[in-house]
Amino acid sequence: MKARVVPLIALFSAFAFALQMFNVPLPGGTTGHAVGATLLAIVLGPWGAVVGLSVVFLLQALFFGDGGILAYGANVFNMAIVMPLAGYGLYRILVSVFPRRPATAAAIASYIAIILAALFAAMELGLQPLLFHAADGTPLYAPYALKIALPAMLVPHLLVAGPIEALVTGLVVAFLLRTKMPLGVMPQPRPLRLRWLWAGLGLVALLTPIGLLASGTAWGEWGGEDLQEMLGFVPRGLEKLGGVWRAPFSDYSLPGMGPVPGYIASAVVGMGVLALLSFLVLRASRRRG
Amino acid sequence: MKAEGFWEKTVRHVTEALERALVAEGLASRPGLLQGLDPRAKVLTILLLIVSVALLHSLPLLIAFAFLPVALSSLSRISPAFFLKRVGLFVPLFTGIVALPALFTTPGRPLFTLWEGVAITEQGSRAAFTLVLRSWDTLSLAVLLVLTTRWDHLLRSLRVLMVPRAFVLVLQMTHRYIYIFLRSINSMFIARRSRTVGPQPAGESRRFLASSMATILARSHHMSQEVYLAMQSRGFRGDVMVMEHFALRKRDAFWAVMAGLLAAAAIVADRLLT
Amino acid sequence: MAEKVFEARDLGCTYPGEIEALCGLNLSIEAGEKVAFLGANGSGKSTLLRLMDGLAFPSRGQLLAFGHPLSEELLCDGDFAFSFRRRVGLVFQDPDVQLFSATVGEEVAFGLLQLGLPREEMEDRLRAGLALLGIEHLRERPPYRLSTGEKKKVALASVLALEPQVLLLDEPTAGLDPKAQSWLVDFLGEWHREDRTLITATHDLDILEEIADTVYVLDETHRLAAYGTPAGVLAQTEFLLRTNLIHEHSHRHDGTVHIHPHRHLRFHEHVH
Repeated sequence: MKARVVPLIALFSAFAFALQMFNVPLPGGTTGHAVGATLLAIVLGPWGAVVGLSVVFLLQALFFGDGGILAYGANVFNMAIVMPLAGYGLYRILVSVFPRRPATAAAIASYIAIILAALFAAMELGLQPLLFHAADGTPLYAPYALKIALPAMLVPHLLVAGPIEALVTGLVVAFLLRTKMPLGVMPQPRPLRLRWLWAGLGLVALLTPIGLLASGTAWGEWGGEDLQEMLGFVPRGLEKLGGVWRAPFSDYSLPGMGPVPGYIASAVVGMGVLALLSFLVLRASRRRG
Repeated sequence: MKAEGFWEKTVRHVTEALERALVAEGLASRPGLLQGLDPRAKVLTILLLIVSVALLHSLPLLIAFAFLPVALSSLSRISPAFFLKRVGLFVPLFTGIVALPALFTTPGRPLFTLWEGVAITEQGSRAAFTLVLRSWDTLSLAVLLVLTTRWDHLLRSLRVLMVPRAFVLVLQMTHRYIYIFLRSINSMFIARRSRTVGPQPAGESRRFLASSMATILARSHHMSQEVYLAMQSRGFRGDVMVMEHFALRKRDAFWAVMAGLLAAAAIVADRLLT
Repeated sequence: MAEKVFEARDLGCTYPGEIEALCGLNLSIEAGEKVAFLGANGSGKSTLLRLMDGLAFPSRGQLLAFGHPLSEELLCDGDFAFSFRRRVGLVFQDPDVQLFSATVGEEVAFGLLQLGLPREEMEDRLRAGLALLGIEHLRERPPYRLSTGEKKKVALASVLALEPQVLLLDEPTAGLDPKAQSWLVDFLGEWHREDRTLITATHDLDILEEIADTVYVLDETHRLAAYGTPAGVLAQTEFLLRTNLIHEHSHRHDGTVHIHPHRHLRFHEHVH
């Protein structure tokens, strides 16, 4: 990393920090806030964003207890790695398709990226009661099962935090372009090398089952009945909320398998669909231009 | 009007919180227990204690660990009242709110039924309590580390602990900019308020927020480049330098051994209790 | 013959975005000289100083320092950078840019710390550096709580702590009251010695005669427009008007209007 870029990274990291301070309290006990990861990735390049955001979360953890010390690793993974890389990749794809609308491309990319980060966070949180519980079923770490964690994380981000992120990202990128600020990475439609994108997505898809394997639990141990017991007890109100959000794979299970392999499959398929779409769009644009 | 008030209030609260948190309060120079330790040893041992708390499952042990930071803080000439205020504000606020629904949503033996189908369960209470305690324990240890160590010493210790140079450098400069940044936003809001009459629609406020942030960005960008050039001009090449020379002494070794024993004992006790 | 400190050969510098800052400069400065670069805002003086301090690099031509052409690669070389940064010091126009440490003492010590000196020596040099500028009493003060004059002193002290042979000053008198200006000019005069080179960029004509023996004038096309002794340059009123260093001023009294080239001196008198 070139030394010259350092103050720029620090500056934009400070900006991201400030941005993240504006938490909107949400029902369900979480807060939604914009992250600025895609913005940072566009301005600083993906790796500058990774460093900058990791620094931001460390400062938040040390000085504000925001996110917590133990959650630092997860926060870095979700919001300092997955989010800026995904956001950057999507941005590059979108801006090569719509070169005259970089700000809009940035906004869309940041929206998708924050949802992706929320998804990962929800999965990490939702699996914990399964993996770490006492003999009587008391969750030892995060107490919300997947059925609760997923809608609780995703809905606020889809409806509130995501739009805020998109708005701020789009506006700031537009502003930066208008004032012709010399940025680390100027938004320019350059021919893309998609190889690293596939590699990145593949790696992320791999990490999900590796996380589960690391817990030491064999997949076969989870019988359908146990899980039904654990995940089944949900107050009706939350069930309704969960019902708002429906996926092709409902309850993250494919017929015939237990939820966990189905969950992995869903993740892979989801990312595959996204990547495929991006790829097709890119091919179409190349043929056009 | 409410929407505008919300953003402005948030900005004000944030800047105040930031000033309290980031500005050195001289606590790191008091002649207390933790202040006298080699910062590298301190960082390592506190990290060790934090990791042990992470591994604990037993509630009584987590409760016991809650007293440790308070004891350490008073031994370090930091009044427990101040310390509790510092940590106590954030943890109940964030973690408590997050943990609250768990009382009801965790399946198990109902302790207290509110109405049809909604009850506080035993497992839920324990889960919520465990979550809050664990957060409190780890957080207060981290805060203790930050309060009793000079910032540049902390940065230098990270270097010694093999954290990449680029990371520490960005950390150092970001810390410096955050304060300036929020101050600018605050004064921008104040300036704007003196220019507008009447309530602003919510969307307008948000747009102003984003565009004023972008303006500060543009201005600060120039300044940041200048500062870095000035640093380079005086020979800066990317390493955080401090005047003091770190040397491990007997008391650091003693402290490290004590912390290690405590961590080990806690983990063993935990395994036995569960 | 004295050592050539700086030599510019067709030196040009353009910022990204096609913003030209300097064009076709040819000059040389020898050790022990007192040089001033005169020019209105935007003429490229600051850029030139930064080129000389190795903070910016030529887009065209060459700038040699102590016989070595300055380039980004050269300043990445640890040994050269180490000795170069000690020999050349730059005092920025805006002192706030240079005051980034927590206290004045730390600020002055910053350069010393980068040298990696033993602690005792650092402490001695720090004390001496503070005493030189008469700011020992400010040692524990945070820099943002100082007056402009005090800030300038701290900035100067922090650069001089490294004991440079070449001192570059960007608009040193900007923002200073007359008393502080006089003080600064005297101080610089005392600092200057046979083996020390003083280079100032300014548009303040008052201090010219005291801080320089040679004056280079940069005009708005970012080129060298004139060069000579201070007295010689100051006498060329027409030329000074053209390069925006003095302004035409009109005032009326008793029914007549006087228009004449005009510059503000410490003591201001019109002779009609």
